[in-house]
Order: sequence, then structure tokens, then C-alpha cells
Amino acid sequence: MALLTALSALRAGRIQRLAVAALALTPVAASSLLINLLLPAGGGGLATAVAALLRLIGATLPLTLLFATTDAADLLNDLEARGVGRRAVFVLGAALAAVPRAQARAVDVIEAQRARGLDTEGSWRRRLRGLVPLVTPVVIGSLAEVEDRTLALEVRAFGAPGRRTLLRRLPDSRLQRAARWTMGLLLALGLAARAAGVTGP
Amino acid sequence: MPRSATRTLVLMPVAIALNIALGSTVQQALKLPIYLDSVGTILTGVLAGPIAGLVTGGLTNVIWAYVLPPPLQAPTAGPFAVTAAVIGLLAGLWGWLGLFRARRATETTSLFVAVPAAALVALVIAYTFSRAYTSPQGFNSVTGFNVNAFRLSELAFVVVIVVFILLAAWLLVVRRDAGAVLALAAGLLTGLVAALVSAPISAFVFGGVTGFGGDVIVAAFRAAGSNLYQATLQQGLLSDPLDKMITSLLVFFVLAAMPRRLLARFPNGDRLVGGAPA
Repeated sequence: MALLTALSALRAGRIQRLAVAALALTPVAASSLLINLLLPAGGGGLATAVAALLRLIGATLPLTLLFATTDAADLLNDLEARGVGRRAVFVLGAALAAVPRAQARAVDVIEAQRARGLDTEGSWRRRLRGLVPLVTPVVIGSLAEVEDRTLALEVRAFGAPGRRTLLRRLPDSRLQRAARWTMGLLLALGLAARAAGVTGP
Repeated sequence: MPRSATRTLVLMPVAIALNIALGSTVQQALKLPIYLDSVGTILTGVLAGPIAGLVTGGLTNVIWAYVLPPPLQAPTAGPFAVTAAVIGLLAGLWGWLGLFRARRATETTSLFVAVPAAALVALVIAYTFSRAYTSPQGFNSVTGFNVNAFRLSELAFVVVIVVFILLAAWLLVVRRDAGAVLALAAGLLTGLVAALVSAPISAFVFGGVTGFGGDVIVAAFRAAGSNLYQATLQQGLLSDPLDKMITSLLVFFVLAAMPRRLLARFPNGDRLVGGAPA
């Protein structure tokens, strides 16, 4: 599975991004190896560690590839064209757009509080004391943003009934459609094979 | 669509981003051994109800694990979307029950509400844990876990309860804030449920290793003689209640600091601001 994903990533020229995603798994891998190999009691040995890791990679990389090759905005646009609710699309899209904003807000707050002398390096009791001054401004700022955006959306008739006209339609070639059907078929076959006990667990 | 529905829809993405920002950036800045990744989820649940909380929690982990570009990506978060969703659902329930309502400390009635409530929560928890520790069959039939060695986790339980009592005492005596005790109790219950939900995920999907500081605790429990499932559950019962208690308190303080007119516009607003002006 991981191999297949890597191959298609190569094709799309996004191997670098995928490699970085795999690198993000290094702490888990290191931790897994350490605990399974070095722990006398209960450790499952190398095989367990590798199996757990492969399972994780198999579950993570395909979806990562999807979002590495597909523009999230395009995907959401297309979903809306295919009849997924406008609200679901909005929540997903807005969440993606909001993450960098929230991140920037958090960094601002951290820097501002540090400038005021907040201790983020000292003993754990001092750091615990920093929790409220860091979290509260970030949350309250976000809630103020909710207020602004709600009004902005209402003014633009977000809540009004009826279907919206899409400004941009995405091209969908016959090859792409065929590939989708093939993949679905392969998935069904794989599941059937597994249910029938042809392949191992 | 009523105005509050739009407001809920706007709140959810912002809360998702909040979860991720607090869980990564702020968590890294403070380097505290808590996750801090469910502030937005609990906030949404309390303000906009169980369904909104559920969606927010689940989506947070899915986006975090699969959609975000690598420096932010947390691949292990994906399967725990179930836990996050349950946390949001519970927060909605607590909000609906009014556990996060700001109560004035001077109201003696609120004290009369808070003290028995805290006692009741403590009783429920003591009962759950004592059953978990003393009656393996009963525990097994409820949670599906086989229980043999729970010595270490009794210690962990004592830690959790002591922290709860200390925080509650601090809230009641120093801050004279009875409402916060209810929020604290809600956090404790949420943490217990979160631990029960995430233990099988942690054990089955990850083999007890998630690349987080908790791995060491799981390993310690295993070294003490628990099997994998017990160890992940014991680790969860230690860190989840602590994390959720702190998160709930943070949410409560934020809500108490917000203007009442802002709170009242959310679907659960009536249950947050109470009748009399504070």
C-alpha cells in the first residue's frame, strides 16, 4: 500500500511532500522501536514495531497524497457541484483557511506575553501559570472573529435558501473517471478477498 | 436559516483551528504534559450543542492528521477522531445541563448546588474505579478489558482525585467560584469517558505507541505487569482526566470573561448566562 502510494506520488511529482509526511512519523517510529525492543516486559519485538508502523503508514500516506496533489479549494468546489451541502463545504473550507490564522494569533499572543515577562521556560509550575494568559486571549480573539464573520456571511445571504451558481467548473476527463471506477472496483475486490480469507490478516 | 445556525457554522471552523493552534503552537511553547487540543471542541459543544461539538471534534482530528501540510501534520491524530467527537458530544450535554453557567460566588444557593454536585461526581467516580479495580468480571463485562494488575493505576487514580480536590478547593476557597467547580467536575467526567474510548484505539491501531510523552507511561504500566490494553487504559485514565479538567476550567474562565450579549447569541446561550444579570 505504502509502495503504491509512493509510486503515484512519484508520478505526480510530489514525492518530496510525501517524504516529509513520512518523516513526521519518525518520532512515533523511534518511540515504537525503543519501547518494543528495549522493554523487557510486554515488548513485542521488532516484528510488532514494524507491523504497527506499516499499518500507520498505510493509513496515513494515501490521504496525505490526496491533499498533496489536490487543491483543497478545488476539491470542495467539486463536492459542492456534486451536491454535498453548502454548509458542510463551508465548514471544511473555512477550517482549512482558519488554521494559519489561528496559528498566527497564537504566535502573536505568545510573543506579546513573553515581552511582558511571561515565563515559558522555567519550572513546570511557572509554565502552568502561563496557561491562562496564553489561552484566554487566543480563544477570545477567535470568538470575536466568529462574530465578525457571522455578520459578514449574513449580509451576503449565506443563510438564504436555494441553490448557488458555481463560477468555476472543473474538467473531468474520461480517463480520470475510468481510473476512479477501477480503484473502487479494486477496493471492493480487496475487501472481498480479505473477507474470503484469501490474503493474510 | 436562523441567525444562530449561521453562527454555529462559523464557530465550528474557528474552533477547529483553535484546537490545532492551541494543541500545537501553545502546547509547544509551554511544554506542559497535557494535550490542550480540545479547548475549541469543548467550547463549541458548550456554546452550540452536542452535534456541533461532535462534528468539531471529529473534523479537528481528521484535518490535523490528513489535510494539513507536514510541519503541522499529526498523523497519529486520525483514529482518535472518535475520542474527540465523543468529547464534543459530552461537552454539548454539559452545556445543555448548564454546568458551564457563570454563577456568582456570593449566591449561597450556587454553593448549595455545587457542593453536592461535586460530592456526587466524586462518588460516581469512586464507584467506577473501585469496580474497575476490585471486580475484574464486572469491569470486563462493561468495558471489554481484562483486568488483572491495577496496582499502579490505583496510584494514578489517587493523583487524579487529589488534583480534582485541590483544584475544587482552590476554586471554592480562593476564587469563591461555585460554578467553576461544576465545570471542573464536567471535565473530570469527560476525561474518564475519553480515556475509555481512546484506550482501544491506542492499543489496537498503534500498539500503545503514539509518539507522545504518554508512551513512557504506557511502557511503565506494561513493565509493571499489565497487558497492552490495560496499560493504554491506565495511561488514559491518568492523563485524560487531568487534561480535560484543565481544558474545562479554561473554557469556563473564557466564557465567564466574555460579554453576556455575545454568549446569548449562541444556541445554548440561555443556559450559559442564567436569569439574573451578573
